[in-house]
Amino acid sequence: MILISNSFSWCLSAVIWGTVSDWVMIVVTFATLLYLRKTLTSQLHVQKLQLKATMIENSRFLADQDLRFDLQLVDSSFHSLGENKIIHIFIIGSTLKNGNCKNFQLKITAENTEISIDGGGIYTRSKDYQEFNGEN
Amino acid sequence: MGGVSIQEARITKNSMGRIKFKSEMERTQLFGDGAKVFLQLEFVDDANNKLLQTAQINIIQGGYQFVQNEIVEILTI
Repeated sequence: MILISNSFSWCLSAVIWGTVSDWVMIVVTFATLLYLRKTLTSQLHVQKLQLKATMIENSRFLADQDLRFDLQLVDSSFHSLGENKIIHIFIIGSTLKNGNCKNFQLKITAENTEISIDGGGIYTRSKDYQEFNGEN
Repeated sequence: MGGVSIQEARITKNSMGRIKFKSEMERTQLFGDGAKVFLQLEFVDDANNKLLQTAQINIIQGGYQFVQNEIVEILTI
């Protein structure tokens, strides 16, 4: 025992090699470095994924802003009003093909004629649309 | 040059619309030299002050033309 003890004390002399607490500190520091590296790698990976997600959101936002209506002249008719006047009645159908929009406005301007809205609108609820078209 | 407008607080994909309007004019405005009648429809995003799409109806002798013009804009953030 004494021999072994002496031998150990020669091999692992605390003065040269440090105490157990020193070694534990080294092991813990090394383990911390490993986990720190792993955490940083993971964070970089997450940041790359977030960047990709942001780019997808941006492109989706741009696509949403680029609103497209499918327009059709559904019906038109004209009538004579007296000898001098003519009345044209138009029904324009529209379907929003993509995106959405707040505070939407349809402006109709006319040259050389007087116009007035005779009903209708752009409906987000199909029920209102059906009511306007007399469908049930 | 007169005008009317329809406003909606919010429209979403597949929103459908039927807009009925009438145009009243003198015969002389439609027939004769230089007669020209047209209606301009502008679809506007008021929140972003952006013209989305336009369409025109040109009323001509004996009929009309319906023209759709699409405005393409690239929005940068």
